[in-house]
Amino acid sequence: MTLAEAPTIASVSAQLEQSPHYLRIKKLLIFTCTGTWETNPDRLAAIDLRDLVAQTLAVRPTMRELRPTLENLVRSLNKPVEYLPVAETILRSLAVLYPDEDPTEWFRTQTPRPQTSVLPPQEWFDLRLELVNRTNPLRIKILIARALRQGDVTPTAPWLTVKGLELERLLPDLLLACPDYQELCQRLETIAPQLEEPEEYQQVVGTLLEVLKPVYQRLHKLQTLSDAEVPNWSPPAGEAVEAVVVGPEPEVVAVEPLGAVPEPVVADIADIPDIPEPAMPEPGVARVSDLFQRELQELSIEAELRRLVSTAVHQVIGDMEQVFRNLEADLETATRHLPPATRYRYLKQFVTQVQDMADRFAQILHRLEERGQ
Amino acid sequence: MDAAELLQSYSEGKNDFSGEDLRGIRLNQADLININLSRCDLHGAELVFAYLSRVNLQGAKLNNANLSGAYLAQANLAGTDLNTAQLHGSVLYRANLSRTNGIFANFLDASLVEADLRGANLSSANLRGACLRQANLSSPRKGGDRVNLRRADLQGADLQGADLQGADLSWADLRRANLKGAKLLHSNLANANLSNAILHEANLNDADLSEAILNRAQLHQAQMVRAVLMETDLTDARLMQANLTEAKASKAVFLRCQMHEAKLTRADLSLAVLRQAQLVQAVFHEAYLTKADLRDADLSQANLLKADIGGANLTGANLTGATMPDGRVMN
Repeated sequence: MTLAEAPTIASVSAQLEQSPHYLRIKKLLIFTCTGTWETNPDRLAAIDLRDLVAQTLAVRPTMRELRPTLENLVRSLNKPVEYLPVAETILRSLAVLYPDEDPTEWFRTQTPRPQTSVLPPQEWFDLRLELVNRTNPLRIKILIARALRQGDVTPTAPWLTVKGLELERLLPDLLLACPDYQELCQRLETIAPQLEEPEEYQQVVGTLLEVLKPVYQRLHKLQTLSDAEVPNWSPPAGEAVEAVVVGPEPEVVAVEPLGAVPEPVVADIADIPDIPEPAMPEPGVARVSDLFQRELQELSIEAELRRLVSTAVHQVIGDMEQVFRNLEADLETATRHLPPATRYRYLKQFVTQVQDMADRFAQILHRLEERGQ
Repeated sequence: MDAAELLQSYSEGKNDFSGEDLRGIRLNQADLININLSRCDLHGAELVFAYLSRVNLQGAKLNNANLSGAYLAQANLAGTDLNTAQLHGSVLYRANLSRTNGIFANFLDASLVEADLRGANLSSANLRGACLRQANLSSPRKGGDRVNLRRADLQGADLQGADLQGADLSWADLRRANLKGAKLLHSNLANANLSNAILHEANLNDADLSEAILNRAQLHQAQMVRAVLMETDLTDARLMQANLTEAKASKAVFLRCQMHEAKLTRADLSLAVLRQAQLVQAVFHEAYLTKADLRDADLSQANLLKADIGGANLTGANLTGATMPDGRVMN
């Protein structure tokens, strides 16, 4: 491809403008960028699609972040079937603007990210035990991977393609992807007949549903907001703050991209069709409980991020003190015939150099931050 | 003998195929329950999703074989050669894997519940996410082969209640593993990584944990009597009511550890870092705390009777109600 042929924001926007779902594309992108569901035709017309595409790239800098955002959003609308192809169109079109992303790789590689804290670690183990005691672990993995479109689950040798995936991650991913039990049933029951030896997978589906049913029931009860009308479940905020320690080491995963966190539930946001329909609820208005829940989630994420930073700082300070002590002892030995001031000078040099390095890191981060804005 | 011949004979009622040369045989998804394949050469064989429950594979050569997803419940795999074999997601419930050689074998997410792994050599094997609840991995105190899990990948593995007495787990990766109530007496965990591992009520008496990493490990009520914790990193670990009597924890790092009511009687904590540790009501009776770093530690109501705190740094430590080495109770 020559530079001239390379896709640009303008060319992708122009292509999207040709879509019969142009307005729906705009609505989904506006929500992705701003968190608001715009239905006013004048305002929709006034917003330039190019700006929206550019903003989307900024707020969701990777495909792995954009995809779950759109999927969760579509799921929460009251017209998910109509909006699913629209979301797919967006993903297909925008994929070319993510230069580091090979769209065919979306489902093949498992993103390293912490497990969510929907259950305490011990319960994940108990859950896995129950599953592997009752059905085949490899088939569970193949089924879930297929349901989540993770790994390249080809019909010929699916076991080869889930080799890089772990049940430890697949299970929480499944719970996150299916916020309610009905959706879980639907998704798994659709997948099983598509796999080789479908009757074997029907048994796996039955077991998975049976084992996970009480989990869903309990998680619903755990919801901090006893809003019986909220149809979708999301992890209780309190648990997230508690940061249940399952999942890869923080040193492996520094900060989880916000895109991986379940999106705010917008179940009550009525989707006003492009041709107005009668008797629709107030458009564009999220219920207070939804907003409150969203806020709780944001707070819990913030608390978790702060906790990670604080832990890292404590670790560095602890390590630094140790290094300092060792250096002091070494210098003491090496300079025992010299005045103490020599030792202090070198100790000061150590501190200054560390400080310089920290300043350089801060400068780099500052630049990155500015560039990201 | 090829796959068709074997399946034909098996369907006709033949059950004993012991000692056969079955190298590279393809028996994926085959139903071979109860078959006798002992001492067979199954090098590179393909047995994916095969039904091999109660099969006799004693002494068989299965190196490089693919047994992913195979049902091997209660199978006899004693003394088999499983080096570099694929057992990804296989079911080995109550299987006999004693004296098995499984160096670099892949047991990712396999079920080894109640399996017998005594004397097995699984060094550098991949046991990530494997379920080994109540598995027997014990080694005799004297004589006999010690279970070898040196450098094994046991991340997220479930070893709750497993018997790992005397096992060699040095350099093993046990991050996020579940070792609740596991028997780890006399085991070798030197240089192992147990960060975020669950070790509640685990028995680590006389275990060697020197230079191991136990960051954020959960060790409530763990038994660690006489355990070797030299230069062990226990930063942010939870050791409430843990028993560290006579533990050798010189230079160990207990930074910010939760150690309420921990028992550290006669423990060697010389040069240990206990900074900001929560040591409320901890017992340091006759403990050796020379040059220990106890800055900003909470030692309220701790018992330091007859402890040696020479050169210990107690700057900023909370000693309210603590019993000092000379029997004095601090206000």
